[in-house]
Amino acid sequence: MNEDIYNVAMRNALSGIKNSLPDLNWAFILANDGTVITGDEGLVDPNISKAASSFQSLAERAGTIGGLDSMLINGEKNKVYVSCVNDMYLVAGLAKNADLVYFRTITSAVLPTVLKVLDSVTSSLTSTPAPIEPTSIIPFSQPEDPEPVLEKHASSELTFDEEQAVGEEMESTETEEPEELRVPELSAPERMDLSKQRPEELPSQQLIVDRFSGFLVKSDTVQLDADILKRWSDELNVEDISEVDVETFSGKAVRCKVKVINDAKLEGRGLIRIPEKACQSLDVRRGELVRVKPVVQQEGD
Amino acid sequence: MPRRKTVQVVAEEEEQVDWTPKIEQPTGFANLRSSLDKVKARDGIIGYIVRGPTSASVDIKDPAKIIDYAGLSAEAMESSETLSEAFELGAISSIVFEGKNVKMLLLKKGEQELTVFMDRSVDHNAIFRELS
Repeated sequence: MNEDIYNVAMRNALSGIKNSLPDLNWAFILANDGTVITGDEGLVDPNISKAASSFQSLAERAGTIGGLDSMLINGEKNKVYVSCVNDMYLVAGLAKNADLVYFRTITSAVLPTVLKVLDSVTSSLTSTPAPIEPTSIIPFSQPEDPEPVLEKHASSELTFDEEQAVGEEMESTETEEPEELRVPELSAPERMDLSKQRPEELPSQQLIVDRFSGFLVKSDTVQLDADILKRWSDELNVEDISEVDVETFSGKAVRCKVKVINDAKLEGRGLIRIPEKACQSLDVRRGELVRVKPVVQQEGD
Repeated sequence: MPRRKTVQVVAEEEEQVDWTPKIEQPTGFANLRSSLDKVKARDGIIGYIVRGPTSASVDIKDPAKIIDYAGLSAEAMESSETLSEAFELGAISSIVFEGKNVKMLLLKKGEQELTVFMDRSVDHNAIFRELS
């Protein structure tokens, strides 16, 4: 699946809003780095890019007044309304006499809800269920565990199938389960063994990329929610998680040191903050999903 | 001998056309200044910037923020013009820019570009009516 689940959901939300607001001519969503996350298919690209680059510098300047919350441009023919939704900007073209209050009510209710749902779905569906991922702790580069059947379930190919994962999580009507994801029939003794190994299962989670840069930013250190790290360390019975493996949908992976997200505004939102250089090497952009797994040092390491 | 043709010119009554351009600038600008001073006296108004083709006038309560506010106001106007051009909005009548702490109203009056900075609680529509 080439398209990011996030973008698809946002586009659907936008088209839903558009259907309910006849005064809304077009809309698109920008990340705060000027990247267009999603938008109307009918919109001309050069216009969007022009607007995005112009808007990005304005948003940066808006730090003077505590950051941009909203902007309304009243033109002779139409108006443009920009509103900040979480860390993104909704840019909407409205008719001259559009009911702005109604528009604001709808967008301020719908978009944050969609984002919240997406975040929770993403974080919950990516925590691999215990019965199908009873793997032992293996660093990325190490050879496979001597439990090939079980290891297979943890392979990136399967777990990165977003559509399938979403389908499962949202309890869609699709009842067919791919063979690879079926819980293997285990004999009783095997089950007992696995339950003993449970604390050593390697958890993983899909998170949304947030790129960051700066002078003192170490390019090999990513930032995660304290809750996720705590949960992993509890699950794995280790004191703390100092390294994680980050995998992209395209199969690129990198091992990074990990720290807790130091920006309170970004906590608890299912984000992984990846330094710009690491983003480049992974070839991921802000808003994309990556799979993150903790690395637990083997004894003797 | 050729007869002289007498032509009688009937002076048509000229229609009164007020073609002379009104020299509005000094009075207009003075009016604008007085309106801005009135606006500035309101509660929650932080200050204003008036930018003309050759000069600018700034009155911001906190002088330390003048440069930042001036930069932001110019950027907002420029960015809005770009957006207006890209999405064919027509001539811009006003821009309302809300930050997390401060609100900014931008409008054009003739050649003057006005920016009024205010607290978020201030009714910018009332300010707009007073200035336009």
